[in-house]
Amino acid sequence: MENYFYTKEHEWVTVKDNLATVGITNFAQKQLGDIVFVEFPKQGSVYSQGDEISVIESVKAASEVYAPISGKVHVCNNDLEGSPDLVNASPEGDGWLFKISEFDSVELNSLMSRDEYEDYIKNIEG
Amino acid sequence: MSVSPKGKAGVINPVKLSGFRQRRASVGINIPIRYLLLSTMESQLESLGKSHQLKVTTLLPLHRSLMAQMVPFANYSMPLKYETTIINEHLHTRSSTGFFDVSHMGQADIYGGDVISALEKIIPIDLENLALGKIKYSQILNNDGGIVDDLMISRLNNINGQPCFRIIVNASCKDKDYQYIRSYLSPSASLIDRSDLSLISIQGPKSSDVLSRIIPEAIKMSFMTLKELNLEDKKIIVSRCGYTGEDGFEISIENNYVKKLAQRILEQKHTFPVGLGARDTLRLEAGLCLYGSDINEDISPVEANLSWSLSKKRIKKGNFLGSSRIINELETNPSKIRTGLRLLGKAIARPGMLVRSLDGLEIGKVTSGAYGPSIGCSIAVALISQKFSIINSKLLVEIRNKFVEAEVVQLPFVSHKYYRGG
Repeated sequence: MENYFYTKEHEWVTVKDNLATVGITNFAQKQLGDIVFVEFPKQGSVYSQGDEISVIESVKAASEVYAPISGKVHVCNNDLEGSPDLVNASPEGDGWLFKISEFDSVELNSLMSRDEYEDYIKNIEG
Repeated sequence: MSVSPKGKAGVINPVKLSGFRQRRASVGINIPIRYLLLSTMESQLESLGKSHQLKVTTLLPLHRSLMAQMVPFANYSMPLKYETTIINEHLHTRSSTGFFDVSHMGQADIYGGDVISALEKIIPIDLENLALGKIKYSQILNNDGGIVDDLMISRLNNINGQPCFRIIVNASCKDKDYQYIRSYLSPSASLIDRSDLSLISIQGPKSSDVLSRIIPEAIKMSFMTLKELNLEDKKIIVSRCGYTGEDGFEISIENNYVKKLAQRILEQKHTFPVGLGARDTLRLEAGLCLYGSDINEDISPVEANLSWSLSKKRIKKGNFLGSSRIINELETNPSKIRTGLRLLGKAIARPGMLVRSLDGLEIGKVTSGAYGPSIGCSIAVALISQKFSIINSKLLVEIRNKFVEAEVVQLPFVSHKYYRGG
C-alpha cells in the first residue's frame, strides 16, 4: 500500500512515479455533504504549499482546497467534471482531485501520517 | 480545505454560524471547517442538555433516533439532514413524501378589539373578507413598506363572537414580530404565542395518500385552505400548504401529542424525514422567498416580486404602512426586483455575490443560490436592477473573481403542483 500523508485542512497526498496525487479525506467529504462542483486549477500552474489551489462546492458550502505541497499542476481528474459526486463516493480513491509534479518531497515530512491524522480528527470530533 | 456556510440569514440556513455567516455573505470569506464542526458540536451538546444556548423542538428525541445531523438554526437545534444526503431527501420529496418538523416556526393567535383594522394597518391583504378556513400568504410591513417578516395568515373560528386569526411566522423573526404586532393592537386585543403547539409538514405528490390513512378528512381540502379537526379527540389544525412547491399539508398539534402523530406518519410507506438542507433547495426551486436572504426590512413586496400577494382592494384604498412607496412602485416599476437566474456554469452563486451586466456594470447581488437537484444545474435568485430583469437575457455572476454567465429565467424554477380541486 502506498504511503499517504495528511494535512490539517483535510487533504491527503500520495506519491507514485514522481507524481503526487491529492484529494480530500473521507472525514472532509462527510462534513461537506453532496459535492456538486469541483473548480480545478489550471494545468501547468505552479503553487506553493498552503496556497488555495481549488474550490469544492457542496449543496451547503463552498470549500477551499489548499496545496499540501509546492509544485506544478500536472493533471486534474476529468472524471469529476461529469461526476463530482465521485469525491463523496470514493474520496481517497477515484475521487482524487489532481496530480502535482516538480515537488520537493522534503515537504512531505511536514504532513501527518495516517495514524497522526486519525488522532487529529478524533480530537476535533471530541 | 476549509468550509464556508452558505451565507444567509433567516429561515433556512443549513450551517448557520452567527457572525461568520454574515461576513461570508458580504465579502466572501470562506469559513474553516473547524467552525462548521464547532457548530455541530454545539448542537450535540445542546441535545445532551449541557447547553442552554439553543432551543429545541418537542421532536428532538425523534430526530436523534432518526440519525439527524443537528445544526443551530434561528436559535434552535434543528435537523440539517437525516441518514441519507440532502439531494436524496430533496428528490424523495419531489417524487414521493417528505416529513418535516417545522415546530421552530412561530404560531400565534390574534383576536379581540378591532383586530381587523389593526392588522390591516401592517398587513396588505383584505382580512375583512378573508373567509373562515382560507389561508393567505402575506407580509408584515414597516413604515417604509419594507418587510418585517413574511407569513401565512388564516381565519379560525370566532372567539367570544369575535374574529380570530392564526399566523405562522419565521422562527428567526417571531419574537420581533409578536412585539411589533402587539404595538399595533388595541388594549382589548390579544396576541397569544402558541408555543404549546408543534407544527409538522408533509410534502410531495404522495402526501395526500399518506394522510388519507391518518386524517381522511384532509384529502379533499384545496391548496391554501385550513380545517380545525379532531384526531382521537385532540384538536388539530390541518392546512394544505407548504414551502416546497409540491402538494402538501401542515399539521398544528399540541406538543404533548406530536410525537405519536409524527411516528404514525413516518410509519407510512413512501414517507421519509427531510431536514432543513433539502427544505432550502426545495423552496429555492419553487421560487419561494427566504426571510433574511431574499427579503428584509429594506425590500418591499414589489421589489421582492410578491406583488401578486397584495390585495387589489387594499392597494386602491392605500391605508396601510408603506402604501405610498408600494403604490408608486406598482405604477412606475421598482428600481430593483427579485429575479431568477440559471447559471450556465457549474459553480454555485452564493448570497452576496455580485451580478453584472454583460458589459460589466454592477446591477445587483445574489440573495439565494444552490444546486437545484430537480433541475440538475446551479440556480440563484438575485435582487437586480429592474431594467436588466428580462427573461432569456444573459447576465454575469462574479464567483471568486471569475465571471460565470447566467440566464434570466421565470420563477419558479420548478413548476408548482398544488392541489386546487376539492
